[in-house]
Amino acid sequence: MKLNFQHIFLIGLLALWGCEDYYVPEIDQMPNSLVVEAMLTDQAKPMTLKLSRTNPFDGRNYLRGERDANVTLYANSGESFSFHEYSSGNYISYDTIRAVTGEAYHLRIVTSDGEDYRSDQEIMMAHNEIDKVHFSDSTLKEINYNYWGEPFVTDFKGINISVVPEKPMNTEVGYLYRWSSLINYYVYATQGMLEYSYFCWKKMNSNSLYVYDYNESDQGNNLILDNLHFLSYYTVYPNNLDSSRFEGIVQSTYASSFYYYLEQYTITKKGADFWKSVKKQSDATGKLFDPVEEEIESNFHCLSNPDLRCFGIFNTASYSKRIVLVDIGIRKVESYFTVQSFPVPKKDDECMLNEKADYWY
Amino acid sequence: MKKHFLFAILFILSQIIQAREIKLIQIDSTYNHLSFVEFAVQLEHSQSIKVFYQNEWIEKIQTPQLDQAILLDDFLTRMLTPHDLHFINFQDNIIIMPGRQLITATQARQSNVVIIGDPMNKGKFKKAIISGTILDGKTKSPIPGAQVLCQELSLVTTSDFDGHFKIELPVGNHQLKFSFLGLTDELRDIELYNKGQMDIELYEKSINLNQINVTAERPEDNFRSTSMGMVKLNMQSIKKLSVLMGEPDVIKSMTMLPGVQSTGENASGFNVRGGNIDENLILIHQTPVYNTSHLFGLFSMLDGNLVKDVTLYKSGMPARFGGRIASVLDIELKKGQSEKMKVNGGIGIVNSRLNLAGPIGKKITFMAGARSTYSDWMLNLLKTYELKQSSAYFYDFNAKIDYAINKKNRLSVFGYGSTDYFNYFENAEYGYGNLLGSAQWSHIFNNNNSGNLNFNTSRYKASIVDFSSQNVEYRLNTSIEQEQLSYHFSTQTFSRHKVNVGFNAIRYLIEPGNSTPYNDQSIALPIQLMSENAFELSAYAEDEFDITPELAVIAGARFSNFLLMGPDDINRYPANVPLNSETIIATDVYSTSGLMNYFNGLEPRIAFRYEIEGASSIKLGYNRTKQYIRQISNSASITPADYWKTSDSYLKPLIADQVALGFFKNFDNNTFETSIEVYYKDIQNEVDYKNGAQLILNKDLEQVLIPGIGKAYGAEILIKKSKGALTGWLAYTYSRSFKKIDGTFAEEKINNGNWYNSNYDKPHDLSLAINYQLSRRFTFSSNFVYNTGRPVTFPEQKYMISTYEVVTFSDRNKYRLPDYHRLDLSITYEGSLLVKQKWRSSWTFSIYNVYGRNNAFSVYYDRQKPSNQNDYRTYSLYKFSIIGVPVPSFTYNFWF
Repeated sequence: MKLNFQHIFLIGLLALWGCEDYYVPEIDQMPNSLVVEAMLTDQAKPMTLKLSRTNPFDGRNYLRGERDANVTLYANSGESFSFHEYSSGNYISYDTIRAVTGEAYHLRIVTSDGEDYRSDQEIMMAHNEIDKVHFSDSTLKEINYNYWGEPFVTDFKGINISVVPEKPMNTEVGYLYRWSSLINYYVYATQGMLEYSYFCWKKMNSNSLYVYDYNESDQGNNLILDNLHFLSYYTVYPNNLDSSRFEGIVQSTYASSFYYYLEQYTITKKGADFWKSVKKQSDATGKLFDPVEEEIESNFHCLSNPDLRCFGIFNTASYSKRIVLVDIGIRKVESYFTVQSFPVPKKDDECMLNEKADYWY
Repeated sequence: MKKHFLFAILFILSQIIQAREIKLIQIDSTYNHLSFVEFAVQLEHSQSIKVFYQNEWIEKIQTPQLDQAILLDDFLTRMLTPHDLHFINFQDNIIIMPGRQLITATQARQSNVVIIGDPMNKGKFKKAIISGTILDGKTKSPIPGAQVLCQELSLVTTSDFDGHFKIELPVGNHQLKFSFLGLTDELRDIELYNKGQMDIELYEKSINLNQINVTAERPEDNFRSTSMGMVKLNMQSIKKLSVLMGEPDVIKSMTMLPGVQSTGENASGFNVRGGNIDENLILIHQTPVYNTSHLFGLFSMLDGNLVKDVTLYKSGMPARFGGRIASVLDIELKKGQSEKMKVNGGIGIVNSRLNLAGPIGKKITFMAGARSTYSDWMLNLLKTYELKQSSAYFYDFNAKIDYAINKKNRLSVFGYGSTDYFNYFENAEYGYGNLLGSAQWSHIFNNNNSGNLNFNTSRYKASIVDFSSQNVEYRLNTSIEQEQLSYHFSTQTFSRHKVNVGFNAIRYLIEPGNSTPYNDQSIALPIQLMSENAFELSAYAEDEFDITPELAVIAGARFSNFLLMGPDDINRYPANVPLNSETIIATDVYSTSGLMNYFNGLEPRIAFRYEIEGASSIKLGYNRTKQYIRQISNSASITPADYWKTSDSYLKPLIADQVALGFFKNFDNNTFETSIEVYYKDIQNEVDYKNGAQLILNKDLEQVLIPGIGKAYGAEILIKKSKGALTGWLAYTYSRSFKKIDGTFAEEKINNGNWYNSNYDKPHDLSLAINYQLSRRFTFSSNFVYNTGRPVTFPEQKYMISTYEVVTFSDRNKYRLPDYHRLDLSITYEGSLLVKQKWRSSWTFSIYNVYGRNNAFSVYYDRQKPSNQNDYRTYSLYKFSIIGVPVPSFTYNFWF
């Protein structure tokens, strides 16, 4: 349930006289703090993590990778795993790590300036499959402005996607989701009496995380999540089509089906709270009423100097995935644009917009 | 057209030039030894005052020798009297008339001596009590709060709620002055032999052609009243203040007074002496109100034309008031007209109003009014599509009936209702409304004792519909409802004592929040927080005791008891653990409506006044106040998303102890009133929210609200001029307000457990209100306000995590918004002032924020558009100003 009262609470009357200006107060310069982003999963593979530093609020934004840190993962069982830096601020474990359900892990990071940071202990959640993925027709309204600045509303039809995970063993869990989609579309072109057909695909990725707490509904054991996201047909269609890639004149294009690839990370509730705070703060704006300061609580602490602040998260997550084929039927797109310069595909061959997904078959 | 414009300008200028306050003009030696004609020419030249005379009267007159400057009045009297002439001040012109000045009817009446008691008792008693009733001569209704003054003995008393007064004097000859705001003072010479009765009728002030003196309250009250931290404004004064949309606004007017601060540009609510907005008890005709604004603060909830006067208690609250720790704002309404029906109304650019007042038979008077807005047309002017498609309106209505059953019994019934609605495109819908009702029976037992029984009810509801997520649309409702029964008894049986006793019983029913799916398609889960039921029972006693003519004391106490009733669920946590969802060990379910928890305590209050020679006094006061309900909010001003909450096991009642000391002095025969007050306030059981707290629909508020303590201190200076063509005041407040949230665990500390500025800590606050009677018809008003920006929390750093860029915040309230200042001007033109004129009207033109300062309402961060190719910053701070341009407005008011 989205509670956005505070940033849409603008009275029209006030807009007559209201205004917004840049404001540049004198903000104290604070030391750049360590930021950690690490996730340990039950997949058998080397673990990666990212170390960086904060930047001044009004300064240039760039990822300031933390170099030459000494990173170690400890399990309560006594095992430990060392990491090395493979690019600026990016670290990878020397060994494959497969986290064990119920085991507690923590990270220790000693930075090049000698400060010693530790994470809280995080317990690996039990494996939890995705039970169902729901698809339903929906319409999204978007307001645009014409050349003269007059507004008009565009309705975008598309698909709402929601997810139901299996009931977990432990209800004190949260979920992170990422999705990608492989869309299969058809291009029909003619040249004189000749007809050309192309079967193409393109890949779309989620550019944000989706985070939820486990929440049982009154109707049953199923977890009903809010809409995970909305996939409009407009974005599914190959609008940015380079007609020079096809022989003949393109007569029509339509998307026929897509593969929906959903990844689920079952994490601790505290871990989910962290990501919810990240998203909430990212959405927060002020306007008439001040936003609640969303200071995001990290599970890292500096042992050598408790006054030093540290940000970020170490998550333990059980991983599951699900691939769904969705038939969206023939939905014709009348217009297309020539903007890209991809290589011209051969007739009746697959044409690529992006690299092929590994789950494509 | 141009000609007309020039004429209008010249006319206004001429009125301004004419506008001299003759009484203040001084004549010096430059006027020595002139003929009268030369004197008149020089006076006209230097002071723009015309002198009218007949030549044959003044031929022999020469101005006298002056060694030092004297007032024009005295000068004229000295010059004209030997020649059997006198002068009249007519519309700020001097008219010379033959003969001596006549004794006016009023003066003649004043010279009548009233004999009280039996002259045969002469010498039998040393002292005697005079009692009686002060009535409105026009309506014959009792006047509460009228003053009875025996100047030579410096004895003063006031009439009680039923207009009854009692004063003890030594037998012999005295002069008594009876006065009340807006009514003509009455003087009575008395010969007192033994106890007796005297009823007085006061009449409306007749309009003085030259000068309108409207005093907010009796000027001598400034130093003579025992009450501390009390400010009283009548509606005349409030109307003089220049405000947005030309609409007199009771609440915003209060923020011009020392110790009272605005929460932001045109925002709802106000802060008093470092207190939060929910710590003010606002009463309309003794009925509490929970939201005092329309359109989120643009307009006050009550049409100012219905208001008789407004009293604000910042400290030294009378014991009959309780339930809030910062202040009491007591708004008293006018009574209906007893003679004939009167209508008044106003037409503005956004809203209009209409009020009726009149008699129903001989014993009943009524008053009824309504206001409505038509602001949608303004939204249609906007370019933003969302706002074009939005809608905003409000309306309110009120009625009051007074029934004089007989001389000893009166009944008063009052009702008020309002609705506000704001629809923001297809994103959200906000609605809120007040419903008030009261019935009051007043009874006079005898000359010494009176009482009144009051039952009132107040209901505030707010509703928000969130359409922003398709198929998850939902409606959120919150409400508070209270019923109150109170009885107040006042007695003056004992000499020099005025004793008040009484009780209050309040029942609260609070809906902290329930959300339901908005329509059948919505899959939003319904959430219903448990309603809160509670009773607040209190009894009080208070004595106003004039120990000596110089020393007076008001001492009282209030004992309050708060009973929290079931059903409800209360989480239980083990000792010595932080309160969060993981540490709940059990939930106690109270399924019945029995007692769940209770709080009680004594609230002592005492104030001393010591009057010093030279119209001055020193006052000292202490009071303890308790508050059992509070508003849950994380914004500086009131929003419909805020809701009320009772005290419970975790949210303890607020307790404030305030000490105040003041020096009060009037100058120049009460023309200038000055005061300086200092105060210190200690607050127990303050709370503040954890970072990122979710307050709406949170059934476990104890996990996000952290208890702590608070303190506030400051000094207030007021210089006020209440007489003459130029009136107004200058108020300066130095005020600090801090909180300390220092729980056992790290997550229960704010700013590491150190003292920090509260949201409403604004150290410097300056208000200047000026009203100048340019002429009979033109009045000029101006306000200037300045205050330090309120504390805010700014982001200091940022970092990337996953695909998100997030910020880190400074310590709570470490920074401040830019300072606020604003100038408003207005001019009012009164239509015909002829007594026989039936339809009367006035035009008010005002400009709000004359120099168009972009005062910050809030500062927020957002992603910015790069200003140039090399601008890599992603976030910027933005200052949001609600009214960043001068706003002119025009209002037409009429009455007949």
